[in-house]
Amino acid sequence: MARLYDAIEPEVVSMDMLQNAVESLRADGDNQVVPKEDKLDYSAVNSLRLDFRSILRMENLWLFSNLTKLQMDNNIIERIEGLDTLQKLTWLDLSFNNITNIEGLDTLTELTDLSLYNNRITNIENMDTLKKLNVFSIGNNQVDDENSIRYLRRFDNLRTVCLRGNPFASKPDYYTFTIAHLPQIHFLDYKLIDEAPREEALKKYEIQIQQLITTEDQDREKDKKSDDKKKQHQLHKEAFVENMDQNQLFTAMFKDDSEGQKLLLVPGADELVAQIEEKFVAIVHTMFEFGLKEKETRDKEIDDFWICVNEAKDENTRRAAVIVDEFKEYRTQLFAKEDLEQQGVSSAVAAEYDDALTNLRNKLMALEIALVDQLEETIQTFERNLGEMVSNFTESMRANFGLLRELQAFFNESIINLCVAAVERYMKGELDDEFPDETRDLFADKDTILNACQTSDEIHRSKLDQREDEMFSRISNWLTTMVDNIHEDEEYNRNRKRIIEISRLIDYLRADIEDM
Amino acid sequence: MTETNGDELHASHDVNGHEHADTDEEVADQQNDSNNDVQEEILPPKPKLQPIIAPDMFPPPIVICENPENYPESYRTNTKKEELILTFIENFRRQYHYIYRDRKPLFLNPLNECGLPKFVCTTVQPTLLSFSKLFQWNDAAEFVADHLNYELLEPPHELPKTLWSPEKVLYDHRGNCFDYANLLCSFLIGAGYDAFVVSGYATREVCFMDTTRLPNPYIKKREEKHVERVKPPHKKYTVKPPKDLTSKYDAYMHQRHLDKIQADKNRRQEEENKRIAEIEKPLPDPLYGIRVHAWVLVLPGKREVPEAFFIEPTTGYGKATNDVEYLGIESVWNHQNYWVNMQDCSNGCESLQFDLNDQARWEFMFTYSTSLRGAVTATLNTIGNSAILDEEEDKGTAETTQKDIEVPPSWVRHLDLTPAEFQNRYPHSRKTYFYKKTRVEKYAPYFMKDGIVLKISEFADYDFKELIYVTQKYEHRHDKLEERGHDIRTNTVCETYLPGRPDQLKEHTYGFGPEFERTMIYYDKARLDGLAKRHETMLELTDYFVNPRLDGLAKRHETMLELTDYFVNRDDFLEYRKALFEPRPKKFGPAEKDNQRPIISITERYGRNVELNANDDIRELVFAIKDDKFVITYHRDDIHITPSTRTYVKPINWNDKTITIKWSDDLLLETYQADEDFKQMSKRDLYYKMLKLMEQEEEVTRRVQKAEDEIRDLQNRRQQEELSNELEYSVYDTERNKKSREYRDLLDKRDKEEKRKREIKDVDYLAPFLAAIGKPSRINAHTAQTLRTSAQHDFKERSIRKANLMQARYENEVQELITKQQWYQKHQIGMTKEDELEYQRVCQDAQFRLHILEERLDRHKKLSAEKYLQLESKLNEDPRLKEPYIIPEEKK
Repeated sequence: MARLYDAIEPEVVSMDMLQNAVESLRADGDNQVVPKEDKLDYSAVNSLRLDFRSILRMENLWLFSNLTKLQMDNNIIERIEGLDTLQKLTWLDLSFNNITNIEGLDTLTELTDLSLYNNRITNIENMDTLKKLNVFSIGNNQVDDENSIRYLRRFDNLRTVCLRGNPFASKPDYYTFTIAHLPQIHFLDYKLIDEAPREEALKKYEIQIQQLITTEDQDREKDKKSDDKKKQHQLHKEAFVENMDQNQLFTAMFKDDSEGQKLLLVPGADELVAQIEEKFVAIVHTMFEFGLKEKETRDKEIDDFWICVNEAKDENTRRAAVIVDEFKEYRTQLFAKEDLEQQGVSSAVAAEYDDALTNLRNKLMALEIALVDQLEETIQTFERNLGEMVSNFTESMRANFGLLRELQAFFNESIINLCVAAVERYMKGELDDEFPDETRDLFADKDTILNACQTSDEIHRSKLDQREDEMFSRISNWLTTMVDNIHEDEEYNRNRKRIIEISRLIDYLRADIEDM
Repeated sequence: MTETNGDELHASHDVNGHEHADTDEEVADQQNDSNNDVQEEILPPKPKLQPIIAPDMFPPPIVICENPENYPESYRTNTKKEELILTFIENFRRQYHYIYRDRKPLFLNPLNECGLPKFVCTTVQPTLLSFSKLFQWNDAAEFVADHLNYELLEPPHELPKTLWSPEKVLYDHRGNCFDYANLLCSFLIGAGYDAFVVSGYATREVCFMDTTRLPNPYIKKREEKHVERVKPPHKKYTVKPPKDLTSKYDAYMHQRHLDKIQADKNRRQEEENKRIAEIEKPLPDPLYGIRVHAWVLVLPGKREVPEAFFIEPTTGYGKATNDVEYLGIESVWNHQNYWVNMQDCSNGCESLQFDLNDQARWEFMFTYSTSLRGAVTATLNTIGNSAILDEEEDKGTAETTQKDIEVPPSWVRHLDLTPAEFQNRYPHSRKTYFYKKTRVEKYAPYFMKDGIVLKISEFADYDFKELIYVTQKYEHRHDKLEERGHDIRTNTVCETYLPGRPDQLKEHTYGFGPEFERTMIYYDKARLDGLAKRHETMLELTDYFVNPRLDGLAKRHETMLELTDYFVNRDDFLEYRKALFEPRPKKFGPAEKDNQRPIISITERYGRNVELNANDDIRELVFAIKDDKFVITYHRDDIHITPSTRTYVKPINWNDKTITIKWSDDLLLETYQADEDFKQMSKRDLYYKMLKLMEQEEEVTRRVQKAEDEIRDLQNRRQQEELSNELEYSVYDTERNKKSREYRDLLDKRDKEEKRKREIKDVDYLAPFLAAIGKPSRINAHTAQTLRTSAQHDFKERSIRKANLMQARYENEVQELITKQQWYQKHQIGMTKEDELEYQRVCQDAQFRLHILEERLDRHKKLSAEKYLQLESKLNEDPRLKEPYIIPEEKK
């Protein structure tokens, strides 16, 4: 089957080739009834055929963003590449090429038909994202591996598989193994699978499949859990209270604090830490709950706002549309009379029409201005309300952070006391064996120990400050971005679009009489 | 016993005559009775207070019973128990009249159709007929009202002297109010209701069954319900309404004007109402309050009846117990007891209490019944005796001795109706009712040839002269016509059809007049094209406009024909297709019909296909055929106020198929896009779009012509259907459906044949031997033995013969084969290939035959042994070969 590479000059996917391919799909061919377009509209093409062309590299395809069907069979392609932007692709034919690895298909989530027939693939892999895969042809390849078959179990929508012509397919138990391991497929090598052989096969591989299912279930469970966790985290982040549902903040305070950790070895520190942690976590938890609650109220507020705005816009648009429709009705009637007279538009009618047009324009503009007024006011109210909410949130959080700082101060004080006591005892030579050597010198001197305490305290405080700053800056950022966007979209952009539309309409309608 | 008691007592005289042979107790009764007679004799001087209604002064009622022998025993004679009851009643009556002298007589023992006095309670025969339709009180009441013809009481202020059995009433299709009530009560008690016959007084309208003042009960609910839009709950954000710049003063003045008009209207309406009320008020009735009437009372407790109510048996309507039409109650009864009303009826039935156990209000006749009227248990008799009889004794009457008297079972035979009779519901299968400005005619199904079952004629006046609307309902029609409403004033007809027509027509509205309008509504789910409604109308356009050249007012009158098809649930979202036709040139003649009218334009309206962009989704497609134009209007999306439009002009030579149409910029007349961001179509796309439109135009024109044809077909078909008006019969209706009956007869016949065949199978193996000895009726043991042996012998012989025959054939076949083989051996050398093949075939055939014969022989050998054993056992069991050797006559 070896192809004579050297005899063929590889071709490049060029503009001409693409143009040609697109044109050839059109029914009229060379017919000259329609002037040829000078430019190719890539996004309008949804099916492309580039077969028997000795293409070596898949390139220059990224413009076809609406492509659903791509045929590149019978070329000399060696790598699957350059398909990342073709996200709407449902049909991909790469049969009769020289591909050795399955790769580069990750973005094609809509793919249902994939043909890799007659290539040099040894492993079925890198297809996890193709959830909708329905027909998969991998015949005449080098697949010789049970795991490749097991890999296909993950495609729930897979119904047709072609494995013929692989080394694996020549094994004696190939058929039973495949139909037992792929219960979702209906056709293997384009032949319907009967119930009876399948049952037999399932019985034969019962134990292995059972094991497979168990591991798969476990994996799925794990995926689900991590997914849930991610979602949860995202939610917390949007509420600006991420990593506050447990003791993360408390542990973070001690994480980078090497001095402090040594200090904790002071006798009595264990109880102190436990005590403080309990209080600390309690406060953080109230903050967390409060944050979630606030988010809910904010969301509700935003929803209410959007409902109102959308209703107002819809109502306004509807009324404007009614006015336009009425005018069009009037226009047809006006001109219908004229046409019957077999002559041009009379000046009287033209004048009348002109007046009506001005009237129409005024009406539409008045409606638009009314809407602008309405929206402006509503947006202002919304901005005010949301701002209050945010400041409420900030204040409450600030108070809580204050509590946390107090707790830290208390902790610091206590630890200093404990340390001083320990130093005194050290002076007296009372503690000998309890301390490890490296911390021993820390307690040799009172100043050192006080310094250490101070450093630790500072680190803890800065952690809290950092968290507070982050929270506040993020929420204020969020607020300004959203409000700015609303102003931009709803007030400015919308208004401009509507005005343009009105003037376009008026111009278009005025053309009726200007021609005559 | 004197003869002066009048004829009414004649019967009781007879009764007394029979009673002499009875027990002592009854003798005592008789004594009581004669005591009462004595009282009765004392009475005549007293009733001066009520000279008109002295019961004994009635002229002898004549019940002419032409053929009493046709009636069952219980109709012609009274049993002892009944006689006993009659004496008891007579006693009760006398005491009652003695105590309450100013009360009118009670309806106790009228004569039945054989001229025999019967107690009213025994005339009630509780019956549950096998028609589920009679199980609900309203259906049963309607049936009774429909089934009978009403006869007035004569005179209207006196109780009737006779009460026929419900059976006779049911079969004669006629009766007075007492007969009605009695029959209905029998049905209701049978269906489990706590129902009573009420004897009392009612207004003239009720007594005359005059329903002409009642509103039409069949009135159609023509008004559609207005769906109130529920306002969404108040939201936090609302936009302020746009500024209201209208003048408040103007609005105020306008409102005042409107109010004035409204007030005027109200006043006029009120006057009108008053006038109508004046017209509808019944004339004063001189006999008000003494017109005797009977109806039905249903008490709560059974069949989930929440409270007591009346049923007017003559019309079948339920009425409240305080209905003003009912003016008083004398007594009520059911099949168990009789109660006399002791309450004041001076203001009608309004204040009456219907707790029949309340003795201050209701005087009962039989003591036990009071206890039976609670929970039904066997032990209640004693309670009843102890509690209630004390009072009885206080009264010092003779009733103490009758504490064990019960109402005997009804003398009436069980009521029965055949399904055919039930279906023929009305006397002579038809009945007419009159309501206010309405005449209702009812017919039994299948009675009228055109299948009509109900005809409601509404009139504008009270004298039924000016017809305004006729509704006719049909059943079992072949063309599935269900209802036809004819509005006489506008001369329009609205017909509704049941599902199942080949054209899926559901409703058809059309007129006869010059204004041409026709609406057809279809069962859209049954139609492949989803057609829901088709509307054809004549548009009259009248335009006034100033003509600049003539400086005058010109008037243009134009008529256009419009045909609109409305669709639902289509895959292509088509909502309607409207075609405008030029009026057909006015020519007359039948040939004209086949011509298609010239089409001016066709408009197609599409719904929004959410899968497409609004700007690519066509909303309206106008094929202006006359102007050679296409106008496309696209859908408007939510943010734009204008839809995009595109207008094409057909190329000049579009009709010429030989020329390939070339694109030129003139073809696209104008384009309007709502937004400049919208995609511009390339020239190529526009070109193809136009070609497609031209194809589409042909297709659409064809569709419209087809629709026209369909309308014409429909008109023709309807005419034919009207003419044929055959009724269709359900396949389950074997009485009417001929095919069904034939099929059933066939099945019956087949069954019979099958049976006969089975009989034949049991061959009598003794018959030939019996025949040989001359079919004796008896044989002796010896003969039996001989018969037996000869039968066995015969069987053996037969099987041997058969075996021999087979053997012989087998040998024959073998011989033949051998000869053939020998012949082959001889001629083998000079044989052609064909001959050889032929020989082989013959051999194979022979071998096959041999094989079969062999098998058959084998089988015969096996079977004959078995068969012999069977024969033996049969002979052993044969009764003819055993004592006493009797041979039954052969059935022919």
